[in-house]
Amino acid sequence: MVVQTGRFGEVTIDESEIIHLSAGILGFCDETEFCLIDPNDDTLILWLQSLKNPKFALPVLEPKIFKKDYLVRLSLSEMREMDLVKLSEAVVFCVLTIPVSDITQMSANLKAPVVINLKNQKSKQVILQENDYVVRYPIFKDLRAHLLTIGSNHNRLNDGVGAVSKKGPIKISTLRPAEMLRTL
Amino acid sequence: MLVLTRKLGESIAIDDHIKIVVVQIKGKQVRIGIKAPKETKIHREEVYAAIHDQNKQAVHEAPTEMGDLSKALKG
Repeated sequence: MVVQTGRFGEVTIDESEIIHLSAGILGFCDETEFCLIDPNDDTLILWLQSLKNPKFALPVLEPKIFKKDYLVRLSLSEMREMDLVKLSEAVVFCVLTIPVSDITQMSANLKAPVVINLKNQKSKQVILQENDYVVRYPIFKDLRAHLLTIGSNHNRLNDGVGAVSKKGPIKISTLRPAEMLRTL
Repeated sequence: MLVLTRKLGESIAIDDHIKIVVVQIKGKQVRIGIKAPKETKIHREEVYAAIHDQNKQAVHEAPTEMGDLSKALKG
């Protein structure tokens, strides 16, 4: 199917690649179908693009890039909602706030990550119980340092991020599972 | 909404597994204890509002020019 996007023009995705957030994004319960787009801009930031609303896209980033000790504890009911059988079959993304007026103030939401089941693309924005997981965790310095390191190594495929860089929609099944999921 | 009156130390049971206790009353503040299976997720209402706000900002404030983002991070 062809998807209109605000930032990336027209993209074509296979219907089997649709990401289903049946409960929506918190605050936007009508936005339930997405695809994941790699702008191939060497920032590792991906975009969760709504299929029905071209202007609705959330920048997301895998937390292992900027917070190595991050853990996502899911309840059994959350796992059931995604038909997630094994914790090793899911990826985790944090939603980023990137103020266009000052990009250095970019932050990641540690409190409510988006978890995607790699087997069926069923997905959920979960709210974590941990009090020290804040909604705006500054990441600019860490992300920049990480990009410098992988840039100097010329070793992008081993940078800890599963997606092979190519502009356009990402095939979810090719993502590497997050190793930071646990049960409650 | 069901409204119940409770005194200090008294509690309310929800289903068989959740117990809510009034632990302390101090002026306009009430401390509440919650006993629930670890499965149960419990959040202050403000957490939802903060996440809604963050999602809104994430959508509306993000750069539309991908080049700006790349330049700021790699420049």
